[in-house]
Amino acid sequence: MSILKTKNLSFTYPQISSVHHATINDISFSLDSGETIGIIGHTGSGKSTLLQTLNGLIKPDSGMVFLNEKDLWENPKEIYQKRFKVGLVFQYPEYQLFEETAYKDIAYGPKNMGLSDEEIDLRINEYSALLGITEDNLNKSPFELSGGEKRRVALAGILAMEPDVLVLDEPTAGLDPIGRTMLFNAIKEYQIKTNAGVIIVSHSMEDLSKMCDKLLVLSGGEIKKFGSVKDVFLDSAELNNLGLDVPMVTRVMLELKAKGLDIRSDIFTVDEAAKEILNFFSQSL
Amino acid sequence: MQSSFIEVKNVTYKYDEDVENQVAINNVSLSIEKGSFTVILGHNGSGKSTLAKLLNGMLKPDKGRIVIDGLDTSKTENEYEIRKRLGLVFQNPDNQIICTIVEEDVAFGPENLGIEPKEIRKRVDEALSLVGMSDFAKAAPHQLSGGQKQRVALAGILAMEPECIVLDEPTAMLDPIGRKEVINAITRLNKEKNITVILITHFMEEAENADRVIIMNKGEIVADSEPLKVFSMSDVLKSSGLSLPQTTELLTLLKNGGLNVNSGIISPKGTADEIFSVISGR
Ligand SMILES: Nc1ncnc2c1ncn2[C@@H]1O[C@H](COP(=O)(O)OP(=O)(O)OP(=O)(O)O)[C@@H](O)[C@H]1O
Ligand SMILES: Nc1ncnc2c1ncn2[C@@H]1O[C@H](COP(=O)(O)OP(=O)(O)OP(=O)(O)O)[C@@H](O)[C@H]1O
Ligand SMILES: [Mg+2]
Ligand SMILES: [Mg+2]
Repeated sequence: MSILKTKNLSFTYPQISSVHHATINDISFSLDSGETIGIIGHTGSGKSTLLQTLNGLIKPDSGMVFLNEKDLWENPKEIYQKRFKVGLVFQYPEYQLFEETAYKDIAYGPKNMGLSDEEIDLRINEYSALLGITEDNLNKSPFELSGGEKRRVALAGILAMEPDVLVLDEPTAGLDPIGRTMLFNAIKEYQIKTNAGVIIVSHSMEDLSKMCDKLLVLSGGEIKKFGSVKDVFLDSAELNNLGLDVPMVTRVMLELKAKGLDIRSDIFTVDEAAKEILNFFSQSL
Repeated sequence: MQSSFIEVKNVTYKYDEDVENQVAINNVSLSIEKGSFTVILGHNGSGKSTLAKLLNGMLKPDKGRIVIDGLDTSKTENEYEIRKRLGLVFQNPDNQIICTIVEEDVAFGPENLGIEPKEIRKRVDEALSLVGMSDFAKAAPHQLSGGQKQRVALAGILAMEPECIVLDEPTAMLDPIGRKEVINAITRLNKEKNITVILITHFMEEAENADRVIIMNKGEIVADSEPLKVFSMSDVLKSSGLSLPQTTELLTLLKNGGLNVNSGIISPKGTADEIFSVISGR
């Protein structure tokens, strides 16, 4: 079932920042419960703008957003409540952190939802553990945290609201490998528990190929492609034209193919690639 | 006698005086040659940004000494001369971008150095063009996307033309092609203008062109050598919470699977070349 849907969504910033049109144009797609969609696109392609229309931070000029089949803007006074249901983690965690301590920052959303202190404490402990936030860091001011530590706190604050749709703007930027793995696992676990839909913007093709069911490619504010991870990564030349790339290991397979080896190149993980190459080698002996 | 451009000697730094066990930088020593390209890797909270701020004198060591081009960072009177020589691009561009128009912001640094207006104009145009942001010269910073801000912050430091640039995760928000462009631009500055580069990153593959890779773990330096050597130290990488790029990981798997490849390669093209030459019998 579709949990979030957009129909012919368009938006232009009232003041345009350059000769380029600062818009998103005619965006239609649909996200099912339990599904994960990755959004990729060059710098300035409109990814963050699109995400902000999904939780009502930006009101589109035209087109519609449906949450659980209902118009997100049916009652503009209630738009604030919608942000508990569509949880957005900002591109820069600093935009989201302003309380005295990291603990209070994570509590902020759940508190506004009217949850009891007891429930809030439970959730904070659960999601901090899931993301590897230490007790020490929970008591620090967010300004006293390193870049990656801040990001973890910002993520925990949104997870703790337990939204129906999780919208993440470059959530792995600045995270170390362990942090990235923890984030993937946290999202998976959360999805299993709640059947939430997830939308992730990322520049890491490696991360997206691990996490997503589908990919949506944005360029100049428009959808250039929307399909399975495999379909989207198949056309590496087109992706390069759009400022994007395929995962590193896919690039290796493509290079091998270009050298004349009769080898598969629709491969996105290291394990798969190793298997394919070793297989090819033993057959060619 | 000072032979290297940066000398860090037994430096310890603690943010909070009162907390006994929390040392952000623990007895670190390091010297960096003029014109070298160093990459710093390390887990979240390992002390990378703290070290960067110690280098430009924003933070002063609690113990030990840092000398930049003969200037001790703990002496306040050296502040100006140090900033002139060593430019730090912050991890979060919002901490760096202060003016309300992009080109004014890029001009801010050179203005403070007392550069004459004509030269500033030239440098601002060059820097914005180098990071691909010329079209946005008149824009307001708050109207920029995340990656655009990151490019502008970089331009601001480039326009000061410092002898040494310290970059704190400058490509974290860039698309794959943009990342390559920025790394190439930095590499060119290093090779052609002999600018000393210290690059902090979580992308191992950006270390490929470096002379040297340093790994930090809990405030200490745990590895310091050329890239291929460091990437083959699997125990250190593991205990420091780091993982190899996909290419190196693939080569390692192939090696374990009986294919006689050299596993210390990072670029996809180099990796494919290596696999091809082994498969086709060298
Ligand atoms: N407040 C604003 N006012 C005017 N223009 C804006 C504003 N915010 C963003 N823009 C412009 O709109 C375009 C899309 O920006 P957006 O932040 O959605 O890009 P993005 O795809 O998220 O990019 P990045 O990968 O760099 O984060 C950009 O060209 C940007 O300059
Ligand atoms: N202003 C501050 N006050 C107190 N502690 C701080 C402050 N800034 C950083 N710290 C702490 O110092 C340690 C080192 O932080 P630093 O920012 O140098 O890490 P980093 O290696 O840059 O991490 P990241 O990859 O997440 O950016 C961390 O434990 C962090 O919590
Ligand atoms: Mg963005
Ligand atoms: Mg940092």
